[in-house]
Amino acid sequence: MIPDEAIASEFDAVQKLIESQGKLVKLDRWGKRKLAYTVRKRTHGEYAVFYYEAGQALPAEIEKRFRINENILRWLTVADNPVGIPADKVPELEGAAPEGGREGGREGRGDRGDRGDRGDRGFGDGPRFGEGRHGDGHHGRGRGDD
Amino acid sequence: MGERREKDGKTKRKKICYFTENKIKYIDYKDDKLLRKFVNERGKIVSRKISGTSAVYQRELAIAIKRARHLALLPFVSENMR
Repeated sequence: MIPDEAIASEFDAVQKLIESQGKLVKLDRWGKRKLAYTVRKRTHGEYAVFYYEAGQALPAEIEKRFRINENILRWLTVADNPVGIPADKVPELEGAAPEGGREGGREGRGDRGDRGDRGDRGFGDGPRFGEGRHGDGHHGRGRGDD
Repeated sequence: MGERREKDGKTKRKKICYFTENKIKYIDYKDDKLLRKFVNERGKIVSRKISGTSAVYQRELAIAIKRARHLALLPFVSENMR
């Protein structure tokens, strides 16, 4: 569990770094979210997406820092069209490609966290894909073997 | 329409590609809610044969799912999802 101020300062640091060498287009903070699997014994993480434009040096620098920072569990940097603008309408794409910098699973905050429903181990190809199937989602068989 | 009788007597329904149908141009790895429709309870990617996704989108989808897995938005393996 990482205190809120520490989380805020981590975000600030990234933001400052981006602004020093590039342009932060948008910061999308997701807040605390449950991880799909535990990472370094953490069940929750603070997520955010940084959309920024920069040359090649900046992403490299950012990733270098992410690697060192133990609070950052996961990250991903992808070249992206900024903030959902269709590919053919991206403003300035020449030279330095706009980066959809993304920082994932930050700050996995400890504490066990909910240990959701167990049971139900449907076999393989259960009809998960539900086109037009009623009630998309909930698989209504709680068998709970073991 | 859309159903045809096979030799063995089973009816087969024509599958529709979700992404073509909804005119989705880019499959977003951040949209785990959407991606979850395309993995089974085990967390495996659902085959085209089952889901009806077109080849182009299936390739994109696979990449998106793998990215999402890396970011712990989707599980690599799971006994039950959601």
